[in-house]
Amino acid sequence: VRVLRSGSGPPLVYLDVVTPESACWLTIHDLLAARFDVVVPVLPVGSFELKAPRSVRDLAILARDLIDSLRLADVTIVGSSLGGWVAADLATSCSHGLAGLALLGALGLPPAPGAAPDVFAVSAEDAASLFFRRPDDVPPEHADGISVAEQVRGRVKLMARLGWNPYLHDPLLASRLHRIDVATSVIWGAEDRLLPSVQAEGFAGAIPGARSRIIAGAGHLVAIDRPAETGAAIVEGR
Amino acid sequence: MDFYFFHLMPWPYLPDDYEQTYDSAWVTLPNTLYDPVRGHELYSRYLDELELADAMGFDGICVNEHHQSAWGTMPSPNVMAGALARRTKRAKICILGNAIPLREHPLRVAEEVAMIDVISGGRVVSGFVRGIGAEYHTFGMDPSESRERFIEAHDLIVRAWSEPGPFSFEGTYYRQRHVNIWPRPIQRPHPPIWIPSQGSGETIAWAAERRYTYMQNSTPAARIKVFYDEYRQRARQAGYESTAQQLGWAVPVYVSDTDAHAREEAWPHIDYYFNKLLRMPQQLWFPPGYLTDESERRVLAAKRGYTAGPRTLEDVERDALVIMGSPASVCEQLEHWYKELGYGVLIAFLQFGTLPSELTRRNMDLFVREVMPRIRPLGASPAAA
Repeated sequence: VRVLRSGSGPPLVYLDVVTPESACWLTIHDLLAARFDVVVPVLPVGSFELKAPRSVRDLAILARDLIDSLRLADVTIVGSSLGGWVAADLATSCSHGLAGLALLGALGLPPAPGAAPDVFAVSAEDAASLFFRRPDDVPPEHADGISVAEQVRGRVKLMARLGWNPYLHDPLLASRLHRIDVATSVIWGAEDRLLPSVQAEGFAGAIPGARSRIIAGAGHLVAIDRPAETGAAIVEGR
Repeated sequence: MDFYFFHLMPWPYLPDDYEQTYDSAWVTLPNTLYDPVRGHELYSRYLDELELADAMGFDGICVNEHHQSAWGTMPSPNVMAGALARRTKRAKICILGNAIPLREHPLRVAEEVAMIDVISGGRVVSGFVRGIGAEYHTFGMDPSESRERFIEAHDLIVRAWSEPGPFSFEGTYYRQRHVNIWPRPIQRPHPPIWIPSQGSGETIAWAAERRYTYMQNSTPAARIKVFYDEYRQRARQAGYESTAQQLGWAVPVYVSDTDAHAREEAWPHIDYYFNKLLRMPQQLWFPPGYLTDESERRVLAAKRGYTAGPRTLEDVERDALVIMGSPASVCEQLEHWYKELGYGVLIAFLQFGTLPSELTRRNMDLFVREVMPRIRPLGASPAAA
């Protein structure tokens, strides 16, 4: 597994699930690198034809293997969106050696009926506005040559592969969240239109001791919309 | 040339404000717009038209499967095929097709089609389709598994029809310890299999390798040539020369006394067919993962503009999306495209959109008397193209 890595301090693995072309070093990574040895795995989700990994659990096992093979001890895991689901799954099943967990707009829990739009049934333009507070304002350096539209298309495809039905969630995840015994922050964009911030309560209520932080002026990809505030919330949460 | 009469059983009563109020005739169009009493009358009329086609000498009569849509009101084509099996005597009954990956278990399709084959005395043609993208929204089936499920469901059904049971089947999606269907189909080793498609490369190759009749729907004729050429090429790679009888062209046809009358009479109903019933946002047509990246490029190129914006009379004539005119003119067009495409199976939609009963029957009558005899000899020898 290819990784992007920079910074010094205790290890931090940042999980997001994007197409390999869209994987890049973000402002949030820079901010975290001031305090952590930041490792960003480029998960081998590959082209859409690639059969494996076919499940969030596959990705969680892959991430766990990566942490072990890099001998990262006392690692903080940050997971955003689909990556938040992967991080939560990892932490519920094999949480040894974790020092902290931050879930940013994590998928994985069922949205309340009628509370979330069907991301697979909206137009490409509308899909972008479900991910970013203002798609037109997404900073270009984050895109690394990939247009916002193309990134969103890739994200939607990966979500479809891993979360078409049940819709963006694992019906059994909620019943396993109590097993997470590491300091956990649940961070959400106040203007998340993909999964409204009320979802944060689902995680924070079920993970012992977890705290939730709602970030104003941020959409679903809270770390891209508001990197400074998100970074501060991750650091405070440890 | 073989002639098949195809019915979509469309809903012709969309409200006047349909275009302003709704974005699609599929998936989300409220079913309060469906009136079951009018539906009863329509089913009676449409089944009568299919039965008439049998009596008039069509080689086959065709039904198909669509869900949650005004486009076609046959969520179960097997129910319609069952109704036709007892009321018709001669024509093939073509189910074009069963959307096998949408079923929780495809063995049910094997059983139902075997039943209809037995009831009809061996007249079934069994089409298999993946179901269009919209239907993956309807059923919540994972579109990225669609192709694998299709192939596995096909394998299970064909084995259930043709191999002595009981045997066990262990697939990725379907597992069954005792496959042993009663009844078995009359036709041996199994009913003919046709593959209707929108032109995905994987499907064309797969159908050609198995010598299944490939049927192209709703595509500009110039693009169909590309797909047929690919089928013929794939057949050669598989070690044989395909025949015209393996290439089906599904197209609305309208015959009147003159070209001008044909256009004038057919256009409102063609307009309804293309511009109302086919309205569907791109994301419903092709949910993420329904097509491979490569096929997505191909199919979208073939269908460019198909769902975007209204189609004019000139558009549909230029692209041969509809064949209409006087008998002589319709024959000329069918002959022209025979030379270009090399199709040997014409699957004619002689009812489409809002075309009423009287015009449908006159269209059928003119087609059978004036068009069929002249076109019949085409394709008796290996395809020209």
